[in-house]
Amino acid sequence: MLTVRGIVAGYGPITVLRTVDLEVPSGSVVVLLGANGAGKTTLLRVISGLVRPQQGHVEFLGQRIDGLAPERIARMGIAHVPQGRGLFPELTVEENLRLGAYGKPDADLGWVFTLFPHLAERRRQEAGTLSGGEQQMLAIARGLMGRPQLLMLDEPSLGLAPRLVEQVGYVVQELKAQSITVLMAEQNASLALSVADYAYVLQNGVVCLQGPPEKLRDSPQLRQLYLGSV
Amino acid sequence: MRVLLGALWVGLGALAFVLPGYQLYVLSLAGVWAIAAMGLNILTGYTGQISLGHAGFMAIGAYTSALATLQVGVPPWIACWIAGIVSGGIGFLVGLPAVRLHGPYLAIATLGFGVAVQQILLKWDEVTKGYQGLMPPRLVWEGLPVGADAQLYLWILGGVGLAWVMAASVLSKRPGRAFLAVRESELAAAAFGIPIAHFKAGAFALSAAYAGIAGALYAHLIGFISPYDFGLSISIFLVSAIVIGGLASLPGSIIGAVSLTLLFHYMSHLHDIRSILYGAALIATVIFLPGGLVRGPWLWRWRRKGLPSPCRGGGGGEVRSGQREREQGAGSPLLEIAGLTVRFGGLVALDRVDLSVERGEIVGVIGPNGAGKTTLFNVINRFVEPVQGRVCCAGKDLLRLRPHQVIELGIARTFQNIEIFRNLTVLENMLIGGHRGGGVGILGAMVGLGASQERQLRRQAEEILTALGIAHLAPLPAGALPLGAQKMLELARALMSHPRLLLLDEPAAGLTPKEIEGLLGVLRRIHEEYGVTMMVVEHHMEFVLRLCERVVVLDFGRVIARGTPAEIVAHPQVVQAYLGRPLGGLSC
Amino acid sequence: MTYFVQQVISGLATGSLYALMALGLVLIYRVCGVVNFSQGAMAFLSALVAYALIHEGGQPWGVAVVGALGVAGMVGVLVEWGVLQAARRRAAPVLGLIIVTLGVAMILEGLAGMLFGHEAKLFPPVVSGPPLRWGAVLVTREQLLNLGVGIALVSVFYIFFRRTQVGLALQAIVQDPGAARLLGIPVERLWQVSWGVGAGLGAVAGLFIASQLFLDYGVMLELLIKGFAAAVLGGFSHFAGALVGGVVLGILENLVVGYISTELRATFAFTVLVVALVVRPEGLLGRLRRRRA
Repeated sequence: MLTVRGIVAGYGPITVLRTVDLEVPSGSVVVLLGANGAGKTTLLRVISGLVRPQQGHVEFLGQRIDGLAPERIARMGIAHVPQGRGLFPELTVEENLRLGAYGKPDADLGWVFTLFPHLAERRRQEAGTLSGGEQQMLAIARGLMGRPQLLMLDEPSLGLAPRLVEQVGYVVQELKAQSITVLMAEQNASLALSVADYAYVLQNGVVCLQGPPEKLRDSPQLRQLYLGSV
Repeated sequence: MRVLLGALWVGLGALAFVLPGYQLYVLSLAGVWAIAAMGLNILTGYTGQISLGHAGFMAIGAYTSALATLQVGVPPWIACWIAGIVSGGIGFLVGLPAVRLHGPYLAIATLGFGVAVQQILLKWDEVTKGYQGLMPPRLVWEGLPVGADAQLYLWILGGVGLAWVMAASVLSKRPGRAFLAVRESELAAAAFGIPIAHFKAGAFALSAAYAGIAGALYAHLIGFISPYDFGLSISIFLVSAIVIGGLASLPGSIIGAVSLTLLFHYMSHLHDIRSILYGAALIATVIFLPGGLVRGPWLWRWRRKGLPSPCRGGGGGEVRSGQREREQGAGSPLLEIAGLTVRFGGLVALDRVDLSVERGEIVGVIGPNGAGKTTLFNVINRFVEPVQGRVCCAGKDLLRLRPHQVIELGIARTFQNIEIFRNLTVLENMLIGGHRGGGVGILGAMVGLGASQERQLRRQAEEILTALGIAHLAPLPAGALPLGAQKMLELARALMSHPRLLLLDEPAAGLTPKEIEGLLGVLRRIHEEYGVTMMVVEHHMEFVLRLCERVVVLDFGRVIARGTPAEIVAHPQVVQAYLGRPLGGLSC
Repeated sequence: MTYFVQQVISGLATGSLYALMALGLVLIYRVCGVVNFSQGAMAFLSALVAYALIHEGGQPWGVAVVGALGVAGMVGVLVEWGVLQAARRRAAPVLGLIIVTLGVAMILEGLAGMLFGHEAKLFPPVVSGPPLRWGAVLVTREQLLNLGVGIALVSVFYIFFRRTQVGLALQAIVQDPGAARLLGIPVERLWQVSWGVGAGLGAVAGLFIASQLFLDYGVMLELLIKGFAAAVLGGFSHFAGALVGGVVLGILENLVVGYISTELRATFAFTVLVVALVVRPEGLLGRLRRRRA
């Protein structure tokens, strides 16, 4: 479904991604691992159009999307739930959700509330007053409102209590069952590997390790990546 | 350079005997606007506070001077000074509440102020004679061989020269840098000891005084003033002059004022086309020439030439000048934090955190994203208010202090987002870092004090820059530096205040392995030679493990582990916090 | 007592004009984050077009209004698309955006002078007919029209903003334009539309004032400043605030003029503006939002 080839990208003079290749097959859950600053967020932003790559290209459903405006890419069926959530703090939960379905005729809140019953209770509350965990749930829920074909999550477990982290894992598995492809950037390797079909590990802007979760889980390389050597 | 300016000034003076009366009049008028523009530039260009009402201050000055000469019989040249003081005082009163207003709100407030002043002058006709206006005496002496126009011109030229010298004196020293720091980053400015309100209101007062004197000169140049002379269009004219000429630039203020005055006078019959050109010039300047006319051609210079390379043999030498005893260990901890809790809305950022840092230690604070590490620093710096808890430094209660007082306790900091003053040079950044060391204030600088402190500050800055290996970058704008150099600059700036506790917020983020080695070396040297206590917040595990003697681990705002680096890495909870717990059966 | 009521009612009427001006300013600020200092000049140009349509074109008021609104809309869109977008691309600071709108005001003023001359212009009355009586109180038909149009427009906006998807999107983009883009919201197009509509609102207020007094730049400038005062009073962030601010300003102004002195009419609004910003920048209704950079 999504193919990323030879991406070089950064912010001004700072190059973050130094040549990245990636594939996300339809219906699968692909995970991006890596320490802080490795480039996971930048890669997602390149795919969703917020950052223009200096080199390389991105293909979605056979069409090239690098260089297109983010609004267009979003309407093509890619939903990007950014790091830091990108919620509209002064709008209510329900209003945020409705905006998730902007431009689409039917906004099915019911389905989303089934997945996130917590949010149903708080539908009239302002998003800015929710706790961190509830905000993350809302952001993911909002991304789903547009019935995307590819859902990209940037560090969804950030700031979440372990119980909610499990919830995220459950949601991702549920999405896979409903044929929504997921690309997830995560620092929490354990969560990521438990839901992934395939994983890429980024370090210093390149993919240094990749493979199915079984292969990565026991890899001493991965552990060293996160904790360093003493 | 100074000689050239002096010669230019004398040359301009000579014009008095050469040019015909009308040209001298126009130039005199340009001089008046130039003085007001210089004042406005101090406010808007240097401290970043927008004023759309400076005509109001000019009006206050003009009427004060006119009334002083007409009602009280004060000679005009004294009346001008009185006008300046009165305007300055009112400027300070306006500036105080204005500290809380930013951007468009301030613009609207000053707009209202300017128009209100005009209206008051119109209606208060017992004193001001309303729309009929006043006729103050012109600054002319009969019986001199020099004509009236020439006399006025020379007076105003003198005024411009004096205004320039005084402004330059203030702006090139500590107060000027403080103004710029306030504009660039109120956060960093406060962290380095600059009292924001004081300098913002002070800038208002100074710029109002300049406008007031300009207004008084206007009154004694024309010989007739009415409230209609000081309307909104004048305020906008002044703003245009400094934007087109160049913000935060004295020569720019003059260039802008003179060019616009000439445009206005020699196109006065083509009123509408003039408006269109004027408007287009404003828009074009903002879009294409944001530095103004004065910086236009030079903007490209450093971009094309690229950055200079360091000379061989740099990177050694004293890290700090001045004598400082090495801090000994033992005794009470330097920093004590007890039960610290911080909440942002529904989110608990810090949860009953206990932490202490002994003198001479290097303590690392680690934890996954969102664990609360930067919030900890922000509490120490007093940018964030805790809900409960105690923070003491060397026995003094930190929580009673305002942000700009924290540095007095010897606490200096670097920021996660690199809060360097991007539009200022590396050297200027350093000098602002030394603001706490005391020195001359606004009024002192105006009368020329502070030269020796400047020299000392510069020496100190150069020494530290050399020791950190970035002295060759001193004249460059900080924003142009590559990331590694910017981080070094932040560190160097923090060292300027002779700190005893250094707070480093993610110093290694974004650096290449080679730069990280360099940074480790510098930090170790600072620590070993001067015993500076350090607290480091970091993600880069290897960096923390190699640098820190002791590590504290935060997760969800709570301390989950303490110990030596070796202990921490093996600690099961830490491993779990970073790598996550393996998911058992998934439950809803 | 009747005098009091009379003053309040006329205050309500003029107040609704201030409210309309404020509404345009607040719309542009809420959606695009820019304070439009050229609102008065835009209103001026549009009103001049209406005047030309009536006097030279012989058209009735209805056509003139449509023409004026059309011009206002086009100018608004053009300014956002051509000028502001360029300024934003160069990361112009707040001061830069303010200067740009001032520059636009000057260009529009010059254009207006070139195309229509500088003499003050008189409009024929919008509605004819005797004033209405309510007890001892007199209300002119024009005042009623002012009030009616003002309330109607504010209500329309309120409903539009809170109840439609586009309205929601408009609120969202000032809170986080990047996130809005990721949801497929066409941020630039919405900015342009808001400018067009905001300019149109200013034009309506300008037409009303011009038909009651006369049309010249000074009148528009005063209207602009009163619009600012009303917007600030209302908190610069809510549409209801614009209405409340305008009405309060109009009523207070009329009371001051009626009971204290006609001399103070103009000074009053400016003083209110300054005092409000100093004492309570968030206005009577609003909260001081810290805008994201």
